[in-house]
Amino acid sequence: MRGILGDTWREFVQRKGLILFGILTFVSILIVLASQNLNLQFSTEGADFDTPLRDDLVDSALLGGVSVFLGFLVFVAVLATSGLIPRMIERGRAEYWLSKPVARPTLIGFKILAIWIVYSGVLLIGGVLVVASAAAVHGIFSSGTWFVLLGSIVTFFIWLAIIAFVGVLTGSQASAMIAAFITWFAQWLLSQRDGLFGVVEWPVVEGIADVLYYVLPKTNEIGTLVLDYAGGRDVVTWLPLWSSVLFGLVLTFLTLWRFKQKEF
Amino acid sequence: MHLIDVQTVTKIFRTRLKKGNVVALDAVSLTVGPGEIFGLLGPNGAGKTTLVKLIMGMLRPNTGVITINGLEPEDPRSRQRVGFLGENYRFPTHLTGGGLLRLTCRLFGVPTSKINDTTDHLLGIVGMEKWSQTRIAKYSKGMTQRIGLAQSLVGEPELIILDEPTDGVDPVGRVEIREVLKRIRDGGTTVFLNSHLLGEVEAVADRVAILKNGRLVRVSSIDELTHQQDQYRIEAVIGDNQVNIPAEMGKRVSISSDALVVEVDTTAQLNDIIDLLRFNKIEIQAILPQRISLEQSFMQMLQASGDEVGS
Repeated sequence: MRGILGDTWREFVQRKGLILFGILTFVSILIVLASQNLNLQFSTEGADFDTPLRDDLVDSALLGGVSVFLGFLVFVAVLATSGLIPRMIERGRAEYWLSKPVARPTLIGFKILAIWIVYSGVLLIGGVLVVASAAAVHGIFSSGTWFVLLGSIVTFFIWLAIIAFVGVLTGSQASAMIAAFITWFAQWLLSQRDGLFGVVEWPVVEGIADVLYYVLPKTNEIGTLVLDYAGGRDVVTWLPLWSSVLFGLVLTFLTLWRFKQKEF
Repeated sequence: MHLIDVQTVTKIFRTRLKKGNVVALDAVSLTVGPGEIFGLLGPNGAGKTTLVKLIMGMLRPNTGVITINGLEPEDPRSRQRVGFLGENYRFPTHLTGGGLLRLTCRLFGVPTSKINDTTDHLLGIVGMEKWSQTRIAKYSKGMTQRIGLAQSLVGEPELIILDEPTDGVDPVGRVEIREVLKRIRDGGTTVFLNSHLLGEVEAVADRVAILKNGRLVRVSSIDELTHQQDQYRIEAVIGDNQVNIPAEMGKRVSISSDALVVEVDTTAQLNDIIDLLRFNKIEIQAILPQRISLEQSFMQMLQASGDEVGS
C-alpha cells in the first residue's frame, strides 16, 4: 500500500496537481481576504437584525461558500483523476503492475484507495485553509464546516468509484469522464422527476425513473443534506447519503471483480 | 521440479463473430528447468507474447495447465521470485529510475531498511547509477530497457522472463543489454527469453522453442539446431590444391585455401576423404561438424513447413 500511495502522490505532484489545487486554494483565500472590505448592512425597513440572526446568516454564507469551493475542488479532482486508472492499465504499463507478486484486487483496490487518500487530503487541506482564513478575517467559525469537509470527501469517493469502474471497464479516460457527466446529469434530471412527470402521465417511465433515482448516486442532494445538517436544520431524509455511499461501495466491489477477470 | 511447466495450452482470442476467432496457441507444451537460458523463437504472430502473458497470468488459457514453480500464474505467490520485462514496457514516466526501483522493491515486499541498498546495487548492475535521479520520461530506449532489466532483478528472482528486451534498441544498447544478460546468467538465474532477434538468442540461450502459427514446431538445444548433421569442415593447408572427391566418398560443398567442407552419408566416407587428403600430402589441422547459424536453421525449419515466414 505504501508503495502505491507514494507512487500516486508522486504522480499527483509530477502532473502539476499540487500547483493546480494550490492556485485554486490561494485564489479562494484571496477572495476571503478581499471580503474583509465588504460592508454588509443587515436591516429590513429600518430595523436592525438582532445579533444571533445576523451570526446565523454569516454562518450560512460561510458554509455555503466553503461548500461551493469544495464542490469546485471535487469537480477538478474528478477531472484530474479520471485518467489515472486508464493510464495504469494501458498496454505496456499494465504489464509492469501485473507482473508483481500482488493480487489483482489488492492492486486496484489500493490504487483507488491511494487516489482517494491523496486527493481527499488535498481537498481537506484546501478547505481548512479557506475556513481558517475566513475565521482570521471575519472572526467567525462554524463547527458545521467539518461536516461540509467530510461531505466533500464522501462525494469524491462516489465520483471516484464511477470513474474507476468505467476506467477499468473501458480503459479510456474520455469514457470515464463522459460516464461521470452522464451520472451527474441523470441525477439532476431524476431529482426533478416529480415536476417532470407531473405534467405528462407516463407510468412506466415514471417507474423506471423512480428505480434509477434510488439506485444512482445523489451527490447534489448530499450537498444540500450536509449543509442542512451543518447549519443545524432538520434533515428530512438521509437516504441520498447512504444510498450514494452504498452505490459507491458496490461499484468499487464490481471494479475489483472486473479487474480480476480482465485479460491484458 | 520445472520452473515453468506449460502443458497442452491452447489460447483462443474470441471475437463477436465466430469466424473471427483467432487460435493464438494450439496445444503447446514445454518446460524450463532451473539455471538454463531458454529462448522462445518464432515469426511475428506466432504466439510468443501470448505465451509469455499466459505464463505471467495476464491472460488465461482456454485449455491446458501452466505452473510456475508449482503454482498457478493467478496465484500472486508464483511471481514472488520472478522478474519480468515485457514487450514495449512503459514505466510510470513520473518516476525517476531510482524511484521506479524503490516502488518495485515495495511491491515485492523488500524490507524498508534494504530498499536503498537494493536500489543502488541494481543500478550498478545495469550501469545506471548516474541516471538514477533522472525521470524515466527523459531516458533513451536503451536506458529504459536497462532500468527495466534492473526492476526485473528486484526480489532476487530465480526466473527472469524477458519479452523482446532488445526491441527498438540500437546496436550499442543491444550489446549492453546482452552483457547484462550474461551477468544474470552467470549468477545462476534462469532466463526465459522471447525474441525475434536470433543472433541475440544464439549468443546467450542454451535451449530454444520455436513457435509458428501458435504451434510448437520444435524444442531443442542451440547445438542441435545449429549442427548441420551431414556436413563437416576440414581445416587444412590446401593452398591451390584442387581436391577432387569421388562421388562414392561424398560431395564437396566448398573449398578454400585453408578449409574444405564436405557432405557425407557415413563416417566411413569421411574417413575415406581424410585418407585422400593425407595421400595428397595435405596437412589436416582440424575436423569439425559443420555449423550453421541459428538464423539459417530457423529459416530452414520454417520454410520446410511450406508457409511464408514473417519478419
